Amino acid sequence: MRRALTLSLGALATLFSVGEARANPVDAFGLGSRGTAMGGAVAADVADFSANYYNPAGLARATGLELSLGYMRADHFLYTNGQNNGVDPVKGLVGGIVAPGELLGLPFAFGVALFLPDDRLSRVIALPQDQPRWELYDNRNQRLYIAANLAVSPTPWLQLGGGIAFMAATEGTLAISGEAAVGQPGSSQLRHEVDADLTAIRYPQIGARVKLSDRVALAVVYRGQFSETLNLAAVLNGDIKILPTSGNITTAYYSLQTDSVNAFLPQQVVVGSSFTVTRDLRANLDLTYVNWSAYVAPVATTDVKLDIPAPATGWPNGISPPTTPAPTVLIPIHMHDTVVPHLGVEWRAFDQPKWEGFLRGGYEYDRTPIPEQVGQTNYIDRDRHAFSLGIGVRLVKLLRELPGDVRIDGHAQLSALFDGTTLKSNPADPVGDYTAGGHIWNVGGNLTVGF
Amino acid sequence: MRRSCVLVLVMGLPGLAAGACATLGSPPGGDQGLPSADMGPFRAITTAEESNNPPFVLVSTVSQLTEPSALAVDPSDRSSLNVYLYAVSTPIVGSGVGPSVIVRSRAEDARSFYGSFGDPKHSAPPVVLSASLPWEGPSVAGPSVIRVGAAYYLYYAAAGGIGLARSADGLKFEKMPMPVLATDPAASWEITAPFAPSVAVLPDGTFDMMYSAGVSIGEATSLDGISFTRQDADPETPELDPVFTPLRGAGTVADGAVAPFDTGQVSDPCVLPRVSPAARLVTRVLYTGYDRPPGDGARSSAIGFAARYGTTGRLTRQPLPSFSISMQEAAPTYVEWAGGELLYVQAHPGPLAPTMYLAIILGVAPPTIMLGPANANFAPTP
Repeated sequence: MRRALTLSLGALATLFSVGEARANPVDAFGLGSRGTAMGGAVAADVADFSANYYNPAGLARATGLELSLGYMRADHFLYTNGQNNGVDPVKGLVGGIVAPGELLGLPFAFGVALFLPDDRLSRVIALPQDQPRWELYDNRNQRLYIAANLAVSPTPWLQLGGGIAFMAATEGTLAISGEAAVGQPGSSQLRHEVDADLTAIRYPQIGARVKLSDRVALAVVYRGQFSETLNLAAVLNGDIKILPTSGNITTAYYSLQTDSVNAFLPQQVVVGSSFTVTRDLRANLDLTYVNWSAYVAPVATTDVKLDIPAPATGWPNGISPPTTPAPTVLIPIHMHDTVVPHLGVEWRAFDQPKWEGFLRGGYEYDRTPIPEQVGQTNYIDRDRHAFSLGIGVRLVKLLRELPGDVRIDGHAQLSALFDGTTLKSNPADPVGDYTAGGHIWNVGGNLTVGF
Repeated sequence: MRRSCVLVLVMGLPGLAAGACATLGSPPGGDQGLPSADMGPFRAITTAEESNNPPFVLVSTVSQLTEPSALAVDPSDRSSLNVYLYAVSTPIVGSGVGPSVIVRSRAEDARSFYGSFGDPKHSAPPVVLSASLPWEGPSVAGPSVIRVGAAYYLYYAAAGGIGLARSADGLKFEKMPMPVLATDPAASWEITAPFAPSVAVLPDGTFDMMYSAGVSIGEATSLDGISFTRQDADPETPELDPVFTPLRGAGTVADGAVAPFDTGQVSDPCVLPRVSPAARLVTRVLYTGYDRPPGDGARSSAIGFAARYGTTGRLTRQPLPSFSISMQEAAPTYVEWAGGELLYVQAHPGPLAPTMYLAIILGVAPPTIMLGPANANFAPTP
């Protein structure tokens, strides 16, 4: 008990000291091989580190300290007009800890899980709203995911859990001041000051699991919404001269404020169920409601102020001051909410005294929440059918030093995004009609050691 | 102790190995091969792409060079930047100009044109067409050159309308004796003779001509490229309507909107039909948009993009210009190659240069591409 509590508090303290932690590629590709192989349908049937994402309440079902480590890689083959758009893979280390114990005589557990991408911890992109992009696969999944949860089982048939996940927002100011020589721009004397800040954002997730009988369990999970913001300001205040040695002809003031939501995760509610069909066969069904209608497109709004008073003698011949750029007018994306079905089965194909072998399968259908892009914006997406397979091996008492079991799990998932054609209403659209579709391969494995 | 060792071995080594495989991140992707109408936005080429007076690529010190018409030398080789450029050459005589002729030049890198200023071996591109027929008046202008089989068809403007000259080699042309599109009193909007033609062959073999007249753009079609019939863009009205007119009712600009650039005149169409990935014929048109009517010395111009689905009807405009650099840019012509798009327009270098100084500049799209350094040599032949 004391060991679990110490571990919990220590890990929480470590997490709170982390400056930048973000989410969330696991929404797209799952967390851990077992959950991914079963189509993500494990909210009522999870007890390992992946419970930190699928259902924190599942942590309370752990029977001993478990450490998990693995790797996953999802490669995109997404095309428009037959051209591979080169969407970056999502790949990195997957791992976590489950530390059970007792609290006031009740089963209690602490868990932490992370996805550590090996190309970048996070990526910030604010594209023009008319530029085509695979909105749900390009930038949003290129980030670190960390979650920490606590769970308790007040009765043998009920588990409750909750925790937080982390991310960061960016704020910054660029200040430029000095003298600008329009006749010899290279001789301008300008000073730059940069002030940037990464501020932490936390969002909640809670879950419950109810065991109705030895054969049936239900679960409900809520994951909060977050917005990862990017706010940048630039200020230029300078004296304008014809030559560095000449006098000022005027003073220019220019300010730019740009604000955007770089990544938005809608709130979600999962209702899960798990059925033990036979001693060796389990079937799960989850439904996830995703509040996509609250989605904020990752497009920057800009506000520009420009003040360059004309010189008393008027502008020199050949020099005309720039005009203030028009502010960006955002076109709402108008996503619609979706309900995502997840199906999963697990068959214990081998049941030996020293080991067990599992075969798993799953399916997930993500109807695109993005409306037809007939206008100026080009948020590309297609309905996604994700088919998955997996294997698992559980070794019992492999070594005297490992009183718990050792589990090795692997998965392969194929997501098919069937070709569709986008027809533009304006024939003079700068992007024009296009076809889009493709597929995504997601493979990975993880090792779990129990103590 | 042994348990700790096992823990380190079991959990630590795979993690270290995996981490060591990923010490450097790859550059971000997701922006390759994105769909586009291939109509810009364009940017002017820079000194990194043309060291001699960029973005100008076809320049003369004794003549204005205007109204370019570009043609890929070998359309089957999409990797090539070998380009023919026909243009109007107007000699500068004192403070005025003389009669215009049509010249042809060539560049193997899309920039180093035969006979341009700086070409040490050739002082000027050769003349391929000059006025010689009674209906033409003293000058020819507005070339639009297309390939029809093995022949070159050069449509041009003159005093009495639009004429046609044909050639087997693109240099020696034989004129049709009469204009293929003359002034028509039934087209009341044509307050000038038609000029600045642009002709393209549609997938069904029809010759589609768009031309300027007054402040608008009209259309005529032909089955043989010789006998053209004017098209009414709006059969619902009794008049013969143009396909594209200056933007009307743009006196007030909504908050956040961009002021329109083509409220005074639309001119110099460049017709570029293509079939979209959805199998729809899109008639794309690049054009010059002026913010004030002809004769207003304070007016400015930009290159716009308009289009329609199918072969009939009015064009719809793209509100933002495709190319705007405040150099009096006008008369667009276009070549597509594997690396992107080339846009040639006439332009003026700025208020410090003589008023009559006009020459041909080059823009490229998408703006992120770089052409690389220009060839050291000008093309040896036109």
